[in-house]
Amino acid sequence: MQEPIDEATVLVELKRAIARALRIPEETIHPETVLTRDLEAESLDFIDINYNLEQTFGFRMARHFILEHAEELLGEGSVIDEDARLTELAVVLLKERFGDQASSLRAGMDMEEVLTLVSVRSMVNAAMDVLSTLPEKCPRCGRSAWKTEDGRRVACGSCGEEAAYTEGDELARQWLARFAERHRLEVLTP
Amino acid sequence: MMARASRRRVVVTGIGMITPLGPDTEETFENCAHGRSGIERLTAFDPRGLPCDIGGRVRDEWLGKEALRGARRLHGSRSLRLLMAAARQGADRSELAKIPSRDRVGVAVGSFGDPPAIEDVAFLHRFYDPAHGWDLDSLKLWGGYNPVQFFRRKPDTLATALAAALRCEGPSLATVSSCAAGAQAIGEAFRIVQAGGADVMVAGGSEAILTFTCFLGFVLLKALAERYESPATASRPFDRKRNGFVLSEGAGIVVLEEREHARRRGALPLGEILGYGSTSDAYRITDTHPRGEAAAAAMRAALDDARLPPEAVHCINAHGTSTVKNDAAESLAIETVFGSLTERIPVTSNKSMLGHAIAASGAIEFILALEGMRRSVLLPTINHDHPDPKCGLRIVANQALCLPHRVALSNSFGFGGHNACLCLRGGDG
Amino acid sequence: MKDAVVVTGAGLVCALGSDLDEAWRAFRSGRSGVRFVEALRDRPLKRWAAPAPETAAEELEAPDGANRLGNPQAMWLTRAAREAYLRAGLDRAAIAGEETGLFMGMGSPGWEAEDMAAAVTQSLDDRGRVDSHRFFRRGLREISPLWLLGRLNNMALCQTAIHLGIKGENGVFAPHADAGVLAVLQGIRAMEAGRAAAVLAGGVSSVIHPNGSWIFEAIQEDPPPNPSSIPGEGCGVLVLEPSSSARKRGASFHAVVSGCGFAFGAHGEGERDPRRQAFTRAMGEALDRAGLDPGDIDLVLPHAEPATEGDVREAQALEEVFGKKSPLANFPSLTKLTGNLSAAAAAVKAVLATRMERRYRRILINAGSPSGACASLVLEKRES
Repeated sequence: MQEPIDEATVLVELKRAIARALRIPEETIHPETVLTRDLEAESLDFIDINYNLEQTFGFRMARHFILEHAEELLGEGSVIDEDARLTELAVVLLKERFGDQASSLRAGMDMEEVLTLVSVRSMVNAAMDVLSTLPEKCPRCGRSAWKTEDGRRVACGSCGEEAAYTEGDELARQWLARFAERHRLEVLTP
Repeated sequence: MMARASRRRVVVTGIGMITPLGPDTEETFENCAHGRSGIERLTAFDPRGLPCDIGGRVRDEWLGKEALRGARRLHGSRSLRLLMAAARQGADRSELAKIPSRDRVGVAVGSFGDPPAIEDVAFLHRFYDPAHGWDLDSLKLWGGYNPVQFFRRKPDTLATALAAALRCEGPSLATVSSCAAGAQAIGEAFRIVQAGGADVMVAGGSEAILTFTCFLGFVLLKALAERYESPATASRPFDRKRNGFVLSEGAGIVVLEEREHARRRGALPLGEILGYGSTSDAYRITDTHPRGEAAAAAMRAALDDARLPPEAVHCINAHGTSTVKNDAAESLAIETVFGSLTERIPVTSNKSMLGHAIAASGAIEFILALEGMRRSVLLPTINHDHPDPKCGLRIVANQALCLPHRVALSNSFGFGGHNACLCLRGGDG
Repeated sequence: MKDAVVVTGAGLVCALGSDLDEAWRAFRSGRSGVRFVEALRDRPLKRWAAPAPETAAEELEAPDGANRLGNPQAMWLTRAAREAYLRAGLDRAAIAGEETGLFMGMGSPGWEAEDMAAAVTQSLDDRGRVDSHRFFRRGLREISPLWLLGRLNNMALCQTAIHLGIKGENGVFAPHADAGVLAVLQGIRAMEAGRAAAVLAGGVSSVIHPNGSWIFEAIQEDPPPNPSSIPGEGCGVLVLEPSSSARKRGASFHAVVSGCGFAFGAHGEGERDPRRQAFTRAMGEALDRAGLDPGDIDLVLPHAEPATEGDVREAQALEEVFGKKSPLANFPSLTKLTGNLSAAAAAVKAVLATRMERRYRRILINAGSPSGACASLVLEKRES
């Protein structure tokens, strides 16, 4: 698939969105920066940052965290236990999803700990995942002619139709389905 | 500090409300006592496609009787009609019209105010082009923007209309502290009567924001419940499965009166406001302080104002919105104030049945707390199926409790960190 | 004897300037902040107005950025409150945030159709009507999630509380001049009852918008009409404390708030016109509380200019209270310089009054509202 938008551009725009939302210089924002722990971001900030990314690139980031989707797909209590703590399965899931960043997670930890997983890097990855769902051909005219004027918004060079990406929440659900299959887990029918 | 000025005592001589569970206090209380929910799928507008499609709506037929006259009809909005319905009940109960010195009778109303209707925006957008801005000349040719639409939006419209309708010529105020506005209106009115600025204050809140534009505002903030099995089970304060609040509408009004003034004219008190506490989180724009420090301070301030120790409180009518953060912070705040007493004091959230009517909730819940004391009934918090270990409170779970009780606290915590707490006593003793 | 309520600090933003010194200099030189405005904050306006200076909307050094919600009220209030706070030396005083109160009259933040226009444009069906499905699927994403918060009147107060760490009693009242006086009165009551050691009180005006209340008036390109109908932007904040504690901590003061009064009068006609009576009552109550007679007042700053309907009633009330020689003559109209400041009107007048010459020792300030609420404030010059 074509990828007219590269990771460097996403990082630039994300830094800009974070800097604006949190009123901090862009230079203080690094890929490893964890928004809650290092920048004291509050929930409003996440909403604000996501909105700005969505406006910039024309896509839709996930509204719900992966664990919420997991509870829906795999059943209540599968990843968050009765005391609002992570289950063993949650730890496995998060390690597969977030890699090294999740290395310190353990079963029995409070749900609040997962907020430390949201870093600049993880947000860039999430955005790139969405951008990679750009279809081969334009759904309207069938041509493979995606192009971008500003390096952010993609449109069909042939008919002008704006690119439509898979939404972040749907991508999360697809990832979970594959995870469930890999681990032979039973899923609830929607 | 300054010496305490002499304090007059303030009793409640009238109450009135209109909610998704009833056109008045009686019916609402009865339905609440039976654990019924006033939340349904929205019909006021088409919510398909929105992640939340439920709300608590007042039945239109209950409003039918509230005819508006003259200027009020011109500027009349749904929140005004709700307010007038509640106010008439309160005014009748207290025989407000018989009080001769009208300049000693004032009003205090809290409301977010009606947001612009989608039709307004749809009209205006014709004259707006993102590239070139506004085409004011064309707008002028079309007669401009109907001024009546604007008047509906002013926050003081409700207070003014109420003052004019009930002939109140004393202090008149409108509070706008979002979810705490109704409680603040009662609290500020209490202060005014306490200090002698008026002998009677008609106070409360009204909200009618189950509209397209307002709903979407809360949706964008991800404040509303989005995962629920049915409308009636969506609002679940202090339950582990809670995931946001449910928006509703309604109005609540109390008539506050200086005690001797009431006694002299033979008005029977339904209860008394003993104290009011108000603080600011000064923390974040939407996130509540995780330890609920300022909320605890508001409760302490209400108790100090009432000159009562924590042991004197028999129950707490919580703000309990059913959001993950508020309920946890409020629980911590209660534990901070009450310590080991926490496991004994019953706590309930009316929002489990009525939803969150923003400014109106503070007033409606105050009245329900008062009525509970008069009837010795503690209203339930429904949908309490999975107690949240982070909320270590004695919740009145799912069923009402018959228990005589005399002193209550009623909490209202607003967006932006306003914390209001009212301490009240039920009965005429 | 009752402990007097003294003004230990004052701050201001209005068309005359971004702070009290700048505004005062402009006022002394007779410069007016009213002008014909073509565009305001990147939006076309084309009317006579007195907007707050752009510099007043610049972000402060604080990391929590009052500009966050794009609501100018938060920026003006944070700025003026900070000025008052620093002038009062509260940053160095041993008064805890929990003991400091914050009471404000608050105008309307307004709403801009632009915030939703793009969303609406994307949601129209073939007949040009808003289709809710399209709106919720596509249009919705064009609206900033912060939009709703920016429409809440109380946000400016909350952001100021965050900025200055003020955690005590608070109240926000809306939306006209009387709300500002009520804020002062409730603040005074909190101190009298021992619930606050110091209070910041005042008012914030509405934000001028092309589609605000003014849009239905003919788009004005003529010479300026009645000053009361020209919208002004700004904010006035007073720091109030009991005189005993101000003295104890060595804070200086030049003025005392000695009385406030309130009344409401629905519109009516004739001799017993309720609105005229309301003004009379409000002034009477303020003078009573101040322990003063009408003859003791050196200057009256009325709510509005003469010659509009509501103001004739105020003028009549003034005559009733002060007699024919009402202490108004020859004093420049503040409204002509600042525009109609709605909830900030009385507060801005009070802040400027703290600077006025000695001969204006006792000043009575009126505040009204189109709805019929009337309020009055008496300010006396007294040195610490």
